[in-house]
Amino acid sequence: METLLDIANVSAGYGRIEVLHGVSLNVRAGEIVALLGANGAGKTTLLSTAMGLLPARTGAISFAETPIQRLDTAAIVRLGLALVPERRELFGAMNVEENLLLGAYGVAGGGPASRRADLEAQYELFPRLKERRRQLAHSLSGGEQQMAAIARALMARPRLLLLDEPSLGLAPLIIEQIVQCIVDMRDRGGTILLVEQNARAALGIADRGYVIENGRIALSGTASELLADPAVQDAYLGGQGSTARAMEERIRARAAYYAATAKPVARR
Amino acid sequence: MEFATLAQFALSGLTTGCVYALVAIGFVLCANVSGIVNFAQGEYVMVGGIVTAGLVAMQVPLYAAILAAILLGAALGFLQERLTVAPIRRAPLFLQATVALGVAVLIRSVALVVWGKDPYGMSGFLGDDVFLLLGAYLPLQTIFVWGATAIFLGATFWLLKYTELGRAIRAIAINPRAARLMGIKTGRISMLVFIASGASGALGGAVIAPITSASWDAGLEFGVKGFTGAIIGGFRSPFWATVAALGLGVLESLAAGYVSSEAKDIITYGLLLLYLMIRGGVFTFGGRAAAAADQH
Amino acid sequence: MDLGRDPRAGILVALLFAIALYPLLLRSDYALGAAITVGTMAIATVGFVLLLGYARQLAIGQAAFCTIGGYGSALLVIRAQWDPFVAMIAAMGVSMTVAYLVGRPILKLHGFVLAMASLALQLILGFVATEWSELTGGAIGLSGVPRFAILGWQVGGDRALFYVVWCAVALAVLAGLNVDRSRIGRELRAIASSERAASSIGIDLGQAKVQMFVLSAGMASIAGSLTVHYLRLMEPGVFGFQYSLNIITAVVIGGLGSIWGGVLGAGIIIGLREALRLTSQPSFEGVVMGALTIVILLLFPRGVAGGIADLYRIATRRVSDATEKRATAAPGDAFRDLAGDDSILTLDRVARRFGNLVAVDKVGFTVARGSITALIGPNGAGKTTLLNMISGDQPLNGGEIRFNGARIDRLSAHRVARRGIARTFQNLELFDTMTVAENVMCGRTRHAGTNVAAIVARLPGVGREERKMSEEAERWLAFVGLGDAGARWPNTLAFGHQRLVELARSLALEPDLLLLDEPASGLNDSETEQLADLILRIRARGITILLVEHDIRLVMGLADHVVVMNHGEKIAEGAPAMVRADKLVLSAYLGA
Repeated sequence: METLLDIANVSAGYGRIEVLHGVSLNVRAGEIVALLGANGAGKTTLLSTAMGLLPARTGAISFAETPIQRLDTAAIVRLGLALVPERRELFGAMNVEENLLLGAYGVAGGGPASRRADLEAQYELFPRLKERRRQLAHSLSGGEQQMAAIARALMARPRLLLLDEPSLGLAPLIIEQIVQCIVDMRDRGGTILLVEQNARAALGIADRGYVIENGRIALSGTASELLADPAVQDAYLGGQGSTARAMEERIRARAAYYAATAKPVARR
Repeated sequence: MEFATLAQFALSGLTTGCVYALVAIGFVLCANVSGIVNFAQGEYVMVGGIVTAGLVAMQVPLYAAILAAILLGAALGFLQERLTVAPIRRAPLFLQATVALGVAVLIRSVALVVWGKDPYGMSGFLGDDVFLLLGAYLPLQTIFVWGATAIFLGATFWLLKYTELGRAIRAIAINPRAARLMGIKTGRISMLVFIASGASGALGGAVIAPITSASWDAGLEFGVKGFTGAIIGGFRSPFWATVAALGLGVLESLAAGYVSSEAKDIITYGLLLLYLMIRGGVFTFGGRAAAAADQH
Repeated sequence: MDLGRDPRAGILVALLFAIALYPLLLRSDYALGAAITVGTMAIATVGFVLLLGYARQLAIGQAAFCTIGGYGSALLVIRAQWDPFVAMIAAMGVSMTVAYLVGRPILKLHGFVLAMASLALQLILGFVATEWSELTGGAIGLSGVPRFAILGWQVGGDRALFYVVWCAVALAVLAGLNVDRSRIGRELRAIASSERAASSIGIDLGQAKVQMFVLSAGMASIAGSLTVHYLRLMEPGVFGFQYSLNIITAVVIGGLGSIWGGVLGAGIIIGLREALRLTSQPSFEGVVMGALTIVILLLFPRGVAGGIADLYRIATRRVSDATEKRATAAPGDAFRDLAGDDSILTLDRVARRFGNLVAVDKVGFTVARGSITALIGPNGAGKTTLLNMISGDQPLNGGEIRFNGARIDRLSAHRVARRGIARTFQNLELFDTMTVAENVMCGRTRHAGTNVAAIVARLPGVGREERKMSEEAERWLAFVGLGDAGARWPNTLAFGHQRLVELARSLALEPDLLLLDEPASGLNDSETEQLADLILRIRARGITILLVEHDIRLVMGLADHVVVMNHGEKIAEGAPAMVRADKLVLSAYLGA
């Protein structure tokens, strides 16, 4: 299988703050790869760097053998990489159809006719969007917005789709639909890098996964390996592991100490 | 209040309002793609007028003069964006705005050096006859002003609503980051918008020159009044900016007609000041702004 | 300024000598007139530095206030026979009042509204001056303005006026320097760095900008009055649009952030103008000014003065009066009365919508005084939005929030801060153009007693207050464990330490309630434990804590009470152990 996306030893950040410290991962054609991690671990920063919104300070990123870390976003989109951003970021004041058409902006070649064809294809996949094609994007429900954001990204005919927390703020029933949608995309030959906080849902459909913690890859492996690994929960839930419990205990001990040594406080 | 007099004032005010509308739209679109208030907007109009009138006075054929004016306007917009906007996109906004002001000053000062202090008069494109409309006597040139403005407005709204480029411009205004993710080259589009603003401003100046005559400092007035239209329209919507600018032209003309021509400017600028003070004071008295606050 | 060691003191003395000797050395009327013109423009320019450089407000019609000063003085002296000095002060009062009336509403709006409003003001005044001939003499203006006098003491000739003008320049520079190295100067730099963070510690953005607008208007008015007494006449063309542009260019050339650069800039502008006149190319004035503005801002934004000042800044880290004292008081000994009833913060059916999306759906809970309450939930649950609604950064679409019994849901962020609620930001918003100690001193704004007039005049109370603020800042830095980092710049600290600076800044407010937005984000394990200890020490001082956090270890170890959100709703609430076992909570986090 061809390696579509190769991120090697990449560091990046905002201003003086460095968020990613030498991150490496890859995505092969036809896979769903999950990227898991707690908030602030660097998942979104990694996607932004891959898309050229943020410069990579060290390391190399290549897409289908082409180095992309120095390219601007428009060029990267043209090569076949598309991002569905966290929180959708639809153009709220424009209607659904306009949002979708904008998704095709970066596609080289093809006139209005092929755009129409792509549009109709998306409507087939997402009939709800077809019903609401003239509705303003900000008036859609959460699930509809997520579908619109995905459809918009698909209009760019990407070879690799980056999905940033698609389940964010969605009800469980809707999440099921989105998950199914992702699986369908893979079955049709697409490749997906899925960033998620919802570990179970993500690992349920992924082939492989990585766990990022404080800007570094802490774990990697096949989806089933990761699902069984208690370290996953530790890494980003601070959940059930023994080291996590130990820290909790220590903190609680300190709390007791302060409570005991506190001077009596007058209450009016 | 005789209807014919009212029509006289209103329709001639509508004519100047057309140029204000061109300026206002330029303000709105430039602000949306670059984030700054382009103080040089009014100067493009001045350049259009003075180049056309100046060339015609040198016996250059009319169509060539107008073309030269528009091309120069476009070139100025291009140079401004490439040299003074693009390089400092990350600088604080007040700094970018001051640079834009510097550009405006430079343009009008060069105009003073090249063309001198005295205004340039010019005959209408089809002569200086008048025609009668709803009881008002209007110079023939009015048709050109209305026509040029209508065509420009139509083209702009059609572009924004129905073409890919127009969608891209609107997208940048709503969310520049997401726009980049669509593969939109925000830098290139910023350049195009500035070129178009320069060209359209110059066109406005060319068609209004026979009516108001062109002089090196005309840009100030067009700039302030166009800005007024833009800000009343909320600086987001070209449509409302147009409506406000046209309204301002009519209002100004009515003030000049019914009060006095001296009072006209005081009334216009006074209303602008009052409007801004009310916008700021009455609705946000120490409270939280209901929306994400006014941008410009 | 230590006169013994600071090389700048020597240069200053030399400059004062040069200015004092100038009229004696250069005897020509022309040289004298040029120097007076430079001096009057310098007064207006120094004021404008405060407005454009410090408050970052571009006003295009600043000469409007020179016009008010000029006509005010001329009319009061000629028509009402007032003493020129008194007339000048009265005109200054009028200018400042106009600036306040116009500026206060307009400076609440963002963007370049003031720029155009200021221009509109200048244009209106110009037209009024030309049209109202009975009062102002119309286009011809008022002639026969007598010489300047100060409470009866006549200023004899131009030479005496020269000294008067340059004394005024010195006072203007002094006033500007007093603002620069004061609490207000710090606040302006804070606003320039991060408006959000500045609001969160109680800085009133609008007020600071209005203060600079009014101050600059006053100085411009003085410039106008003195000019009129030099020219002995006043007409609409004296302070036209070109004068406004010259002031702007002077500030740009001199250096946006430099008070004495304003004087330098005025000198350069007048010098250029005269040079152009000598080469009989006066119409090139605008071209040169415009080109200079553009080039300097693009290539040398700090201007001439900025470049020179950089050399000194490298040598001496002299920024404001923050003295480098070590903390003397032991931290964390004073406890505060937990006065008031048991619930310090109450949320009642709080809601927030964005179009069709409901971000927060009728959430209600109570925070007990003196407790540590944690707000948890998966990403997108609405926790940060809720925090923003409490702190004043976002409005409500429904419900109420009460703090100490009083409603706060309609208050803007800085008002909420002044009531006693401090917050930190997930993305860390420090003021990077000032030292660590100064960052923390900004947090003392809530307790500041001195007003802008006292600061401009540098009354004795101001110096005392500065020292006290500095001591308090050091105390809080020591409390968080950064006792010797005061003089450092924030971007030289490790990320974990930067977080501590932000905490110290919030604590300097002495809040009753502290909102922490993901404070452990980006910290490693040991830093997280230290953070936990610090939070406990903060609570021990009587400060209630509400924290939004993802790190479950921190939450479970610290919290007395946990509120769980998902999809904008509250789905569980209670003691940590109870919440941890709740099925709804588990499925929300880990997925079903």
